[in-house]
Amino acid sequence: MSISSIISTGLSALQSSQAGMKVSSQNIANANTAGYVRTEINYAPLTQYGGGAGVEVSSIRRAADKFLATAAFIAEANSGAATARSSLLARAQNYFGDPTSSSSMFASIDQIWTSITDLQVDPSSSLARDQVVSAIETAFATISQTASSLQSLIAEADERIGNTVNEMQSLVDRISDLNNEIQLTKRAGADATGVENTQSALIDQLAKLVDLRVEAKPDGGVFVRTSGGALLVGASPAQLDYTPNGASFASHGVIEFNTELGTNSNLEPYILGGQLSGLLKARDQDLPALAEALGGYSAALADQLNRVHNENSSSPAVSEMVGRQTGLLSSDALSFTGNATLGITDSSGNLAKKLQIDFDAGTIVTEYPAGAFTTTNFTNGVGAFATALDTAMGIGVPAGNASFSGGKLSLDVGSGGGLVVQQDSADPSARAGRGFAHFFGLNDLVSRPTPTFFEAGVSGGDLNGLTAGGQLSFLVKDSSGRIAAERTVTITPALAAGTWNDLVSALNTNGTGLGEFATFSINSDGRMVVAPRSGFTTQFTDDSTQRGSTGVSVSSLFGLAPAATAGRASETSVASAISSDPGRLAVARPDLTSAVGARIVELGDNRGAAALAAARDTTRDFPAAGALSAQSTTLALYASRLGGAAGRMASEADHMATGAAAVAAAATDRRSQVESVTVDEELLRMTTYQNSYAAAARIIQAANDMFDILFSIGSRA
Amino acid sequence: MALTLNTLRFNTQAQLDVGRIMRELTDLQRQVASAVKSNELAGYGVGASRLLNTQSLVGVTDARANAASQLQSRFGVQASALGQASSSAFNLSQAISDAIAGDNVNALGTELTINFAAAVSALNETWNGQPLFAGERLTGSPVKIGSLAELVAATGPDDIFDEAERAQTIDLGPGARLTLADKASDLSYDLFNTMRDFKLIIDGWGSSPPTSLSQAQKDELQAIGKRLDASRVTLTAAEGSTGQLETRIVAERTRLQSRSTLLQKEVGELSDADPAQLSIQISTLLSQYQATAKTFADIANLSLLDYL
Repeated sequence: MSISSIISTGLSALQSSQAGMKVSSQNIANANTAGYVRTEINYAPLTQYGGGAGVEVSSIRRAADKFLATAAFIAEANSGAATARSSLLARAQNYFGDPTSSSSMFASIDQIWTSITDLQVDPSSSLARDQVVSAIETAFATISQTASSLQSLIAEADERIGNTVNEMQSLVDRISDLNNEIQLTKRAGADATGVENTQSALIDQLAKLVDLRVEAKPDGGVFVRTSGGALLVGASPAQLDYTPNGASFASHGVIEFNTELGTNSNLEPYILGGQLSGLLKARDQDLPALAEALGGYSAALADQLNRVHNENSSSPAVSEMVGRQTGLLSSDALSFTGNATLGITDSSGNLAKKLQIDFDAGTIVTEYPAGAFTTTNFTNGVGAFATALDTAMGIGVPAGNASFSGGKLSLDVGSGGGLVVQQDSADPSARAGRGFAHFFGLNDLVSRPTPTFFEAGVSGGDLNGLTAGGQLSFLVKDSSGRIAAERTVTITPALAAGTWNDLVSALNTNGTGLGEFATFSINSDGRMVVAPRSGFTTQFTDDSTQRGSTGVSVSSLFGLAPAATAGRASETSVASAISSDPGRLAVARPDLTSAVGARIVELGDNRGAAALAAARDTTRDFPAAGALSAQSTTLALYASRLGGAAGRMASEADHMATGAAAVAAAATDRRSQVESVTVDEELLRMTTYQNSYAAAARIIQAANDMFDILFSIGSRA
Repeated sequence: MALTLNTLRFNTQAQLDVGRIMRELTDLQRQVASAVKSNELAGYGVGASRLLNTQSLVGVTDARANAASQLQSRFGVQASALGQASSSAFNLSQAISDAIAGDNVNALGTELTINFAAAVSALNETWNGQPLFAGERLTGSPVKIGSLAELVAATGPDDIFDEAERAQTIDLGPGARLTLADKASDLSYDLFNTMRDFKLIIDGWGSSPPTSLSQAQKDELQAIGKRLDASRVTLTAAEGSTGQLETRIVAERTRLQSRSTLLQKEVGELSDADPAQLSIQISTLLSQYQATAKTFADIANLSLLDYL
């Protein structure tokens, strides 16, 4: 070995030590940088002509562990999903109020029963009646406020989805840009670890938003996919797009990526974890489930109160009854069975006349005066019945009127008279499970602009009565959440002139309707229902139909859209007539079996109030509604189960978030053990490099001394 | 300044530990301050349903107990009124007995007037402005006549009474509805009929009552006395029933209050924070906090440079 080669070897050692020092200094400098992966330097012996020629830096690479990083990504994604969902559900359950406080939604509902129980002691007390009306108004206002807050939370989740998608786009763009930079740097043979570290930190951020799989590219950089397989960063960044819709009961679009992919451009089926997944689950499943359950409870509470209120009477009896918006038209079939009695009192509360309505026979038998009977016949039509009832009510004094207009049945009586409607005890009237007064909402305690129940009692052969030009729009998704179809059925003039069966056929038609994806039908309660085919879900996206002048659409008549079902928690309040005059509260139950002429309305009659109080503990059927399954129970228990569902969902989500955060912390910790900088280790390396550098310098010095000796020998020679 | 060992990993773990401990301490502090386990549904999880149901039952039970309390005061007035009506029948019967024994009927007219007025007044007694014996009718008084002359002129119950068809009832939960009071006609129609007949006898004497009663007159007056006694028994029985009703209401109220107490206890068990458990948890967390802080302080102050 020549002396110059010794110097050259020493020089390589100097350079290698310098490189090592540089790497350590970089590591120490970034010891507290989040996402920084420690850089390692590797050496290799330098050979020349088969002999040793010093040392060279064979590689400078990041101490990244692919498997630990993947585990950390999965754990972070799970944590992100659980945390996002938990935070929203925690707020959702908060909207129901403090369960130990008297101001919670449930406490305000309990106040209804408390005030009605008080009313029994003195049913004539205007103060007690005011308190009942006030309690009911407050309860429904609180329910409405809770429902509104849930819709706001859904809108907020949707907005956060939009923000998350924007953040994802930004990260994906920057990761893709850094791919190019890494490739260029590597092609130039330069150290790309700095850029790789920057990219790694961005990937870590992205992993919190969406679950990822990351693969290294052969020429540097990475491929980034969601766990479901959607390529976010490949040769170029994916183009993501989402437009939030903050409206209540909005139909949300999908997160589009690379729209040139057509029907496969929905990113959502490919997202299995991450904050975005949690937000989507909260927006599309958890919060709507709570909203549906709340809507179902609100409707059941209103319906039960109305059922009792329609069977009873105020004292004095009301002189005018304006029914609820049924969505029915005069031409619709009446479709009632059984019997009901309409009693008309004089100004003293005496039974002036009695109308026995036999829906099976199609007759109204008016008893006026006592012992004198007049029969009025009617055909099976809503309008025909109203006309016959008007005729029958016009017999004798006080004279009354009946009319049906704009979907509402109205009754009135003059001369200070009063109206009392009751079911026949042996053969009660019924249309789709509700009595005459209850179905038409003649004496409703609680009202809403559109129906609170959807058992409309229509027959397939009834004219649908829809206004031509209206449209029903649907979105169909497959089991993976991909959009399978978007369909719109227009109410053509021909269809508008047709029956419900014609509409059902149009909806069930393949190609133009939803025949390939779902089956529409009219069930035994006269409600149009939709049964999605296996592997598909359908959702109403728009409904501009209308039944005549009722203002009621197909979806609100049959409860086919969330705005109709969950929406029942909103816009429900004490009927305006009762709200402005609590004296109309039906606290009494007159005896309509009394003889004509008998006094039947008494101020001290509290049987109606007792029946209202008993409504709390009356068992009834509750259909499945969001978070609550179908069940037969009381209003009181159903309310507590609703609160239990909200508490359980939030509590479970919190536990999941806590667990996922612990797993994520452990995965990150494990990854950090391998990838992060430990300052003491770097100090040890630095000392080694320092010593190595000093030793190499000594070798060069020694070689230099040898040269000097050689030169001195040479000059003497 | 020494280069320390506080790597990012170490810092992060320390922050996580401190953050967790502070969150848990905050929740415990809230429990100590509010004395309830949680002020939100999520804090009770699946137990929220039971808590809400129990609280709802407390509300309804308290309302029923409150109604029972109000009725208790009514029954006091009601019993007193029935006692007064019964006394008027008794007093009149006693006056007849005294008149027969003393063979002096001079005071009977006055006695009848006084006791008729007392009976009418008792049967028209009100509670909270509501007539007690008019059934479901709250307007006017159940006994609509105000004088013996009107009584004499009456030909049937409708001329004497103004009341509802049905007696007033109340529903305090499971079980049959309670009838609060019989109607005035059920209680006193016989009494008023007897008084009318008595009045007709006195009127028959005209302005000169007999100075000495014949046996027939005595028998006639004794028959009136017996009818008055029978009416008194009816009214006394009603007074007794009212007492029994009051006892039943008191018992019901007591039962409802006991049930409310039990339910409130159950609510407390579900929702009240346990001070002993809180104390232990706080102590444990403080120990964890101190251990974390000490570990952090000890390791953070270590520096390899001190040994190089």
